[in-house]
Amino acid sequence: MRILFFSLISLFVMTAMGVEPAQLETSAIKLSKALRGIPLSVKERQELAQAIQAGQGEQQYQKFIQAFLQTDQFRYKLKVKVDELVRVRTEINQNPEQRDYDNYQDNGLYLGAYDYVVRDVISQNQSWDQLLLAHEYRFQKHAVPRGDTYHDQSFFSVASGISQSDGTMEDLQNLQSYEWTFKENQVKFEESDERIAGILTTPRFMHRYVNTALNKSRRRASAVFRIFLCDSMMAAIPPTDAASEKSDFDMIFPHNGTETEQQIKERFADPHGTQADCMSCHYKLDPMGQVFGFSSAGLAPSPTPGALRYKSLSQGKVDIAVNGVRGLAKTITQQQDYVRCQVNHFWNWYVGKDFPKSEKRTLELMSKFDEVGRKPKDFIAYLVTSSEFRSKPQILNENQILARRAGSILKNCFDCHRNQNRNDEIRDWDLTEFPYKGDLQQRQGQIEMLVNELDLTGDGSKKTMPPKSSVWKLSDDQHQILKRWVEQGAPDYDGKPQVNP
Amino acid sequence: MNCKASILFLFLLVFGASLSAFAEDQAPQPAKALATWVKRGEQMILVFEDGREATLTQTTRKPTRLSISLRQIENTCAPAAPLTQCQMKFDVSPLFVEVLWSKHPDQQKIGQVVQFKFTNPGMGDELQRLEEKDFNLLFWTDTKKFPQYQNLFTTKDEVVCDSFDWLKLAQKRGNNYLISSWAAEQMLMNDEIKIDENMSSSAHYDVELALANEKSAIIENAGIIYNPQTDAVPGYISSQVVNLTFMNQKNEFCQVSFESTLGPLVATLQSPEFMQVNAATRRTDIRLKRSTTERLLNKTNLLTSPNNRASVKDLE
Repeated sequence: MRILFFSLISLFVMTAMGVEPAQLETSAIKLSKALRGIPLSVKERQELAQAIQAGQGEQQYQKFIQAFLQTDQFRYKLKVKVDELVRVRTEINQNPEQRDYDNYQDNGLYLGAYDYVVRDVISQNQSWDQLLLAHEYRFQKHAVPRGDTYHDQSFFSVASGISQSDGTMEDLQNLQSYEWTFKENQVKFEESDERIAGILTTPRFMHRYVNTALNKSRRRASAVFRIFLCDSMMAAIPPTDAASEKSDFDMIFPHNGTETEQQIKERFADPHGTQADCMSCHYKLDPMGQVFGFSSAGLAPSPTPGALRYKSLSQGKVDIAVNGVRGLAKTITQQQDYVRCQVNHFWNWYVGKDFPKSEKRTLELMSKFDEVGRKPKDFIAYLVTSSEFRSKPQILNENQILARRAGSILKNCFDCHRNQNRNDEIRDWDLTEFPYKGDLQQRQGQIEMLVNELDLTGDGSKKTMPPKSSVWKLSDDQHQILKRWVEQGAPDYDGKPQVNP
Repeated sequence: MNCKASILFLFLLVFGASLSAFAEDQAPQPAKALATWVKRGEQMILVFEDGREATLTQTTRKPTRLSISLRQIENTCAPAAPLTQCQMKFDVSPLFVEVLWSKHPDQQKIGQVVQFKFTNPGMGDELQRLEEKDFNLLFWTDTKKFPQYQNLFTTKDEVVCDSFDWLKLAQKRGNNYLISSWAAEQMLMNDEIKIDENMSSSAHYDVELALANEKSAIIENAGIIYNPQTDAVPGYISSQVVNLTFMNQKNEFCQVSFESTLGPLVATLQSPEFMQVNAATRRTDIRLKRSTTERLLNKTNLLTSPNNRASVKDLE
């Protein structure tokens, strides 16, 4: 009777607070899966049930958060997310029976500088900026000198003066048993060393995004833009008049590869690098690529000057000269676009890509990210306590679903148009952010533009966007979705029409 | 009856003790390697369990001057300037690394290469000689690490071009033009994405060139060498593209790239004439190139690893 009485009291209290016990349990299960990848254990469920009965359910939820954030599984899962973001392989033994998330040595794997930087940011809850600003490295040294393309010790030897591993007599003597050893090496650089910048100056990053004479480290620059500034570098849209379209696209995409770069250069009056639509990406990539310029193979002894240059939706033109990769990294961490981008990563990882957020909410999250010192565990703890994470799965009405589907299609358009260099009204318009800015008449004009360009009143055969040579094509299904979306009044994510249907 | 039981008991006791002693003698002993590398002073000696010894030696000769063609394909600081044709000239010697018997009951074996047969599963018996000769080369740039050969390599590497206008753009360090990075490209497997692709895989940093005349520049300083893939050839030689980056005198970043051709060079390096060495240069106080160590380790591992001794036979 007493238990029933107290349970009823707890239920009443929590209901009064807006937290139903069942919802709390659902949130806790979701929390466990989000942070650890596994559901609550039987013991944990019992603990939660007892805590709920005692009116301490919320406190137990908070205890779970702190406990789960210290687990090996959390560290591993977040490391995997970072590896996927950077697009490097995740180093883990594929055999689950041998898998020890923390003790890599037992897995017989080799941990390099990149791996330790990411692990330390996660496990020690360092500022997320350390991914760009770390200047002390650890790596495991192979006892056997290997001809690996990017052996960590060799990589840092040029910049640090530590000896490169080589086939000395001592090595020959020490390797009689021909066994690997996992002795850990350290190399420390000064915080002011302009050559050093977290994961950007590690062998794994530089080898993932190799340099050639042709790409001029633009591949590395493109990765930095994508990972840290959420700029996917989609190709800009050239003018669509018939006369220029063919020659412009012949320049970008030579027919059947029959023209060499030299021939293309000779064909155009302007020297290569000044064509407006090429410059839409190159004006960003080239100055950043130059920062890696001397480090074409490994880490060069001297920093290279360059610039961080791009167009920010919130700040306008960003054009900051930098010296060395560290100068670039530091400047990036000072940009609001960087904060926005990293916040979006965490949001997508822990709350979900399909859970849209308003600009106001984004700004709140950015402020919180700064408030917690950009520490991942603290920010994740905030996210998993948020109402969005803990809300019941929404049952969406048709218009809300339609809005989400339309937004994901229009993202392809926005990714291209945002990089345009021309004075174009579409350039600064985030096609995925509903409701569109302005009054009803302005929104009506914007929707009409979409209708005309995409031929949404017809069957799509007369559409002028995306251009014929674009990598992305609007499919028939996508065309129908956008058509229906417009017919319903272009509803926003809450299902409310933005314009008259 | 008691007496018989006592005798039986004693017999069993003695028999049991003998058995256990016998078993102890027959307990499996940990496997031992056939040989062990031992460092004596600057020498590396392979000491065999039966007391025989073999010494690591290296033999070379005076270098041959060879060249490769470099066709300029880009100059970002002077894109309108005509592209030039160059050659890179360098000294190269063959290196013979051999493990030679130095202590052997058969005196005729002294100075001979250690060889043995081993069982290669699925392939039958193979002969293994402890030597490295194929594509084992010594360059002027190696003498930094191997000062004992500095007296052989008296001529520095050289670049000969139709025009050095491109080099004159570079900043100077003293009287020499400074190339901050001289990188060589190769087609290699990208371990992160498991795809073969071209990549800058080795480089020399802060290379200094001095113009000897309008057509020739001497590499006064080969700079800091970064050559993780292999040290078999200098890090600034490529079979594809070499990429020079430097700051010009207006403090602008410049990139000058050349297309390289190694084909004729490889043929020369493999010819019998090139592969002759001078026994008078043989040394035992040596360090090996990393690429050589790796190959030699694979061979000597058959002798130095306890797990492999069963596959070794006819060790001469």
